[in-house]
Amino acid sequence: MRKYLPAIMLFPTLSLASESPFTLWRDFDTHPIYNIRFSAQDVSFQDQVKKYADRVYRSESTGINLGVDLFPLTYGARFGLGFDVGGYKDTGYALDENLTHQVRSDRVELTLIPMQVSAKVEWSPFRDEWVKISGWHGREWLYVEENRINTATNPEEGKSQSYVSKGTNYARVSGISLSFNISELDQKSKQSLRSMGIHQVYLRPYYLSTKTLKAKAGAFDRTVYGLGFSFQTI
Amino acid sequence: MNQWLGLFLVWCLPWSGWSQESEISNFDPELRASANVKISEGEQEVYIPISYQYIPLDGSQLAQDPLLFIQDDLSQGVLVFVDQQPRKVRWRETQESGNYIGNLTWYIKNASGPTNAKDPGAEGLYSYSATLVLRQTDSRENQAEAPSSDDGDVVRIDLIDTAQNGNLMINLQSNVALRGIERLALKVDNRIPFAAPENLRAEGFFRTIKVSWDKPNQIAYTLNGSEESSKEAPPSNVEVFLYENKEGLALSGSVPAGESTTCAVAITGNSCNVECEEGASLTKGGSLSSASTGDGSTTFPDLANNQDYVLVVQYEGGVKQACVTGKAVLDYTLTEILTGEEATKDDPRCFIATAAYGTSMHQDLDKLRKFRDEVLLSSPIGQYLVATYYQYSPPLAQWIENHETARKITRIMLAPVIAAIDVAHISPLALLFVALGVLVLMSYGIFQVVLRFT
Repeated sequence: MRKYLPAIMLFPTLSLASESPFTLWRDFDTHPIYNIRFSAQDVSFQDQVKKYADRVYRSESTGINLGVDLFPLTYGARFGLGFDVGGYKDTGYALDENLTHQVRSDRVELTLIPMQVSAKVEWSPFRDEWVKISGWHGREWLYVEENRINTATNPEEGKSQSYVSKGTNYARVSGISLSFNISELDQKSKQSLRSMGIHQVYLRPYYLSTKTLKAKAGAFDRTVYGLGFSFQTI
Repeated sequence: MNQWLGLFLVWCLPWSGWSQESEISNFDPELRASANVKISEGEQEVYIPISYQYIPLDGSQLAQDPLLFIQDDLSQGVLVFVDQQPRKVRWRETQESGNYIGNLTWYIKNASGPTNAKDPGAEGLYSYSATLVLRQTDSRENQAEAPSSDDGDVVRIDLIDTAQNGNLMINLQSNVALRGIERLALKVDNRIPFAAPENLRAEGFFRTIKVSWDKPNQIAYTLNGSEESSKEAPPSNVEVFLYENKEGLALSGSVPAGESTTCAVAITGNSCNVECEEGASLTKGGSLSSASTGDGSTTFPDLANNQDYVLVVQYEGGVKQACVTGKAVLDYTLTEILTGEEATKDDPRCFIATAAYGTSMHQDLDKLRKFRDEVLLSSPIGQYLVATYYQYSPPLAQWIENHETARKITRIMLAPVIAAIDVAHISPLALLFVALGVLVLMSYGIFQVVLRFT
């Protein structure tokens, strides 16, 4: 790794010094760019998890995600890191001994909190960046907590018995997204966002999948379709 | 200062229901309790044993059971309250430094009731009034603080059933200095069910069985003798005993004379029948667990799944029994299916405070729990706040538990909350003033900041 260090350090300089054959970026992209992202996600479990999750929780729920991208390097495309944190919650009922039917007396609550760090690439075939394509690959720490809440007593009274399974999984995450510039739809909004340091606003559909590497609380492999807004800084 | 505070607080106490006072003609002077009190500087809590019994005019003693047996004609007797459980009386003494031994005795001088405007002989709850005589002596050499009157300080008390969790509250007021005694609360549990529990059933949950029955509010009563304030209340002291369902199961009991006996249980399919000698009560012997309830239901946690249990409900003051069979349910959560590991029990109570204090037994935690139960859970917003806290606090509590600095900071942050609860306990009015003061100070601070920057 150490032998590549000079090349890595030269990398941003190269992006400014020489025009790459793929460069279609705007000219003033000479400092780090940030994307701030908010989105809603449709989460689908995979394999064994899906089989039993469909019985316990009947249908998957919707999650939310907050993320920040940092692109310090530009060479034809932007290269950087993405940091994401999300939340997913679902409620259902425990399964009977045959793992087929719900036992309505024991309610269960599943909470997933994914925290992701990814290497990201962002590229646009158009100079004015009205559409951008992104891809990322990284690692995920998924906090899993599942509560079996005994409904024999009122949980609001704080007297209910609760049984908890929890742990943090380690997983691989990969995803792609398309970002459509919607700033141009309203020039006035664009100007006022600009005064707040926001250069462009994008509508961003995306897809990602995770593959569990170390399962401390069940291998919650997922595919996720999301839609959200991405705010690119000046 | 403390006397003034005591008088102020006493003045704040409600005076409602104090309408009658009658001398007890056959008052038994032996029915008095005393407590030796070691008093040091500061606030003390004095535990006084009290019990009560019903004394009919003919002098016979009908009932000494902690449960009050309502007789047909209540007008022919008087009630003397002597609670058999030690109760707390708060005592303040700051005028003298050093320790000394004081002796506090008290008895009920006048009492009337129970009264029931609807039907004096009917089943139900009643309101009572009585005068409590507190006598305080001082064993110090200098007895300047001893009461001058032989009768001691006379305190009027008003016993009103609040229909809240079976508590019968005593509000007291005095026209003399109470020497710091601020408040006395006595729980007189005199509600017993008069009908067999209907639709007795046992529901199975994971490691838990819930026993419940219909019509939990079986007792109609009149508060302060007013027709308009007629209410229904749940019976109290319904005991539920849990037994393992096995062949030849015999339940331990006792008859009124105190001799032990056994009750037979017959189980056919899902039906269950318990046969006890007339007037016999079940005792805890042989049972796996027992619980008292006044809510029409109770739960038994930490049971073995798929194990058959017998649950016996004892009612009517502990002389009648009904039973039902039940089984805790074995089921699986998604994570249990995936990992094959059973979920661990989690106690969703006071996570953060428990982590901060390092124990769930700290007295400050009791204050917080009391605040939760009596204040927060009495309103929908409070219930929402408590539920939200239980949902999100465990991870934070876990982190706090592992960091000594965080524990110290949390304890410091909890201190004003506990102080506020203390102040609220002494006087809600004082808390209101403190809160208003803080608001005024904050407003002033904001105003100053705005002035500086504009």
